[in-house]
Amino acid sequence: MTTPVEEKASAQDRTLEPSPPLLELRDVTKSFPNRIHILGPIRLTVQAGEFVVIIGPSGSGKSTLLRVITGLTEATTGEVIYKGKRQWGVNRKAALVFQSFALFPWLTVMENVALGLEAQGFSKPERYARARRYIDLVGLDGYERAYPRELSGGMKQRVGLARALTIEPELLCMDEPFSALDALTASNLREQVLDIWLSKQIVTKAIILVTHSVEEAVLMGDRALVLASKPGRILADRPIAFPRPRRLKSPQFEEQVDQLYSLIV
Amino acid sequence: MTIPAIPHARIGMIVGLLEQLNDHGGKVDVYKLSQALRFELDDLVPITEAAELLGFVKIESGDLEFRDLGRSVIDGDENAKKAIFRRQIMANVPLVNRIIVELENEDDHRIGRERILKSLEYSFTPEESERQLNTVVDWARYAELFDYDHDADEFFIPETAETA
Repeated sequence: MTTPVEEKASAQDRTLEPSPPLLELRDVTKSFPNRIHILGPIRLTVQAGEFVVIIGPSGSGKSTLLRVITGLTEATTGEVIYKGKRQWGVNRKAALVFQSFALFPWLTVMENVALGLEAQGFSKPERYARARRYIDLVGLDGYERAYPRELSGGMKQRVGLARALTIEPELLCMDEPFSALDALTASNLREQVLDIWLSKQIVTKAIILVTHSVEEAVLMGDRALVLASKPGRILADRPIAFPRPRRLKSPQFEEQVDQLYSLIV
Repeated sequence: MTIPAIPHARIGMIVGLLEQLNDHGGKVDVYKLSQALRFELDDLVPITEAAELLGFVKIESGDLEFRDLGRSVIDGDENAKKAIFRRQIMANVPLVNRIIVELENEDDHRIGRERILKSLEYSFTPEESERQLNTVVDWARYAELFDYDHDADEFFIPETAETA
């Protein structure tokens, strides 16, 4: 069956738009088997080059949305389109960084980072060479042989980030990556993620970061999506267009934060 | 010889403090900063002391203020940051230097934790010695000066270290 939406997309492929958007969600919803409807319908397009921040309260299904985007969870209805193609199952071009770090305590930093490559059929020397590159990039060199329990929260999340980056994802998704950290460590790690992204040291084409912090969204994103809860849906989609580096106390910053807050309350 | 204690602050927190200081225009009241960050003053003070010990800030009558080196830390990329930490740690943290000297005296560049703990007997309580070593290992790893092998309970100089 051909829907009008597909016809339109294929017509665009031939004529106007040589490359489709990186990611497109077409009326995606998610319900649990007991019919509790938690998400959507969500309609969303993410272009290459964008840093999108999704802001939402708890219960807005924002983590579920990331899992649907990366293919870890299947949408109940609707379609996830990746580079113009319907996506089924886990998207191997996407990586997810978790709030809880999700490290294996019995593996060293190097082993934890290299782990993501094992499923992809790389040889051991290749895995370690690549892991080393991303360990250096996130500032973890010197900690390669340490175990997670020896590390501070900030260093643990660097391991999580390096592990996500080693698979060289086109789409990097981050689920509240700074929420488990104290304010100083979080501030340091936010800057580092921005540095890596803005200096184009990675092949990643777009970042989608989920947070409950409006300030974090304004500090980091090119665009903010505000979610409403129960069920999660997009309340607003706003560009964050003022130049970087963004200072927490600047008038532009405060103004943008106020605007987004006014949408939430 | 007794060894001065280093404040217990993780590297990420020290750099985070400098970034917050920058956001506050380079000078801020420590008490106000602790409120803005929702940090207990008791938790924030060791971090400011570590930043002061390493020459990144000065603290006068409750105000935290940048030294030039502190600005260089936040302006630099990760390698530049590490280089500054390395230099400042070697210049200001006797415990790190003591461990490096002992490591260099060993043919295999390894020494057991017990030996270092013993050498701290006259400086700290046993508990504080343990905490000092844990903090020092975090700093030394970040600065790539030496490493710690948790399986063998030994300090060692990895081949990639920058002490030479």
